Amino acid sequence: MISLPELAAAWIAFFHTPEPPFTIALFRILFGFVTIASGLLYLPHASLWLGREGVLSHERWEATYGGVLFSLFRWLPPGRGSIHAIFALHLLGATCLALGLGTPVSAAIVFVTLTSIHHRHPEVTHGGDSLMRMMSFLLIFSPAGEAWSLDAILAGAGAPTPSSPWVLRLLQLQVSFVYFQSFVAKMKGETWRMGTAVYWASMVSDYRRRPVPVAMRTLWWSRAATWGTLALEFALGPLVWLREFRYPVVATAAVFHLVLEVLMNVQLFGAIMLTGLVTFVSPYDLERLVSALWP
Amino acid sequence: MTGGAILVNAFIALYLFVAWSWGQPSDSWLGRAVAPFGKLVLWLGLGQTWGMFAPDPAMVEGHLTAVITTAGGGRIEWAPPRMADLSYREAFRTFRYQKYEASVLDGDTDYLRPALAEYLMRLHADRTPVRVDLVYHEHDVPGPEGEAREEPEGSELVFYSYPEP
Repeated sequence: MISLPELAAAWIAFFHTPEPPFTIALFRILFGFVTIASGLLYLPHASLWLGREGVLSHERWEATYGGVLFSLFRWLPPGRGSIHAIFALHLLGATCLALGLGTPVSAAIVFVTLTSIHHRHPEVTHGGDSLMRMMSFLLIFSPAGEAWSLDAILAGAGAPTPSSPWVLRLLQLQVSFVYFQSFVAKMKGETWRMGTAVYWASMVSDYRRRPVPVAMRTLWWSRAATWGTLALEFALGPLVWLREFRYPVVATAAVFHLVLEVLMNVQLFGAIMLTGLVTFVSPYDLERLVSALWP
Repeated sequence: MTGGAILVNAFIALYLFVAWSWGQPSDSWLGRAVAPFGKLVLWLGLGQTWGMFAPDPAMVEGHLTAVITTAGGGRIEWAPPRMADLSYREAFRTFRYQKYEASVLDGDTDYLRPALAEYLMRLHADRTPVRVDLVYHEHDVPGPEGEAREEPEGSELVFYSYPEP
């Protein structure tokens, strides 16, 4: 049993024991680049997905989602000018975020513009987009600009002061939660329990990047890959929180996403998840690595 | 504990509570507990849904096409890009078409169907379109080795027509 004061002490130790902001700074840089890539990939199709004369006219969208989902498009004239303005602001915010310039404001700009774009046509977004919204939201409150940033250079600060890592902890919990909830959802599916899910997912041509090798179309391979995926997603729930397992679990997850990238077309999903996994790297290990690389 | 620290801890607790409760059935106690925050969380885009390939991936190839009938009785066929027919680079760039196609086929987001039909009529306005039929094409995928599976078959079905009767 644990007493309430002990619980409170554990909470404070977990969320508020000061540490250097290197991990959140590295996350900010990578997230900024992924956000830029996401915006640039969306832009050529923006008129089709978001435009007044696109596949979801402003009137149809307003009738379905008006007031339910936040989007700047609700208050801007429904034309190309608004699309260009929002994307310009979005890419500017993402660039500033990657560089660490006006970090909290740039994170807020990214969150507002990203949400506006996604909510203007929610049916062309995926789980990775949802995670990006949450990541940008949390970054608003973080000290991500206190290291490896233009903000830090302009302030003339030396080594960053250790501070409460509560935003980093929430990001870690969020990433861990995504995997664990995905594991729970998969366990409800018969193909996952039977070990054939990976086979079916890899055979649907629209997600397949290249024909699956014959050796990987076997039942035993499918079972190994399907149950391995389940084991990994489970491990990223509780096991990633045990120091002894953290790096092996994170490294396995990174390899998993890289293999997925080779075999399947999931666009930036893998990059988003890999960026999320970076949050589990200790800031002290990062500091040592950087010191070793640039003494 | 200062006022700022209380606010931060309340924020952390609320965030974790919403993250954990969001996907719970609406009639469960957690589902009911998170309901008061539901509209705000949804409005902000912070709802938690993580269902990629879960619970079950598709076991068939399902595709969408549209047939536009013109005033003169002509037919124009339209289809979103087929990822399998595109280069590696093009398939990467046009990834969102897959989600859009799946959403048009999904009955839960059927409001997309008249919107697509109207778009296609605008796209071909110069040929005076009078009707749009959305067609679902399905092909079986061969099963994994060792699993009994019938020969792959195909079928097609008009699942939506515009204007609606």
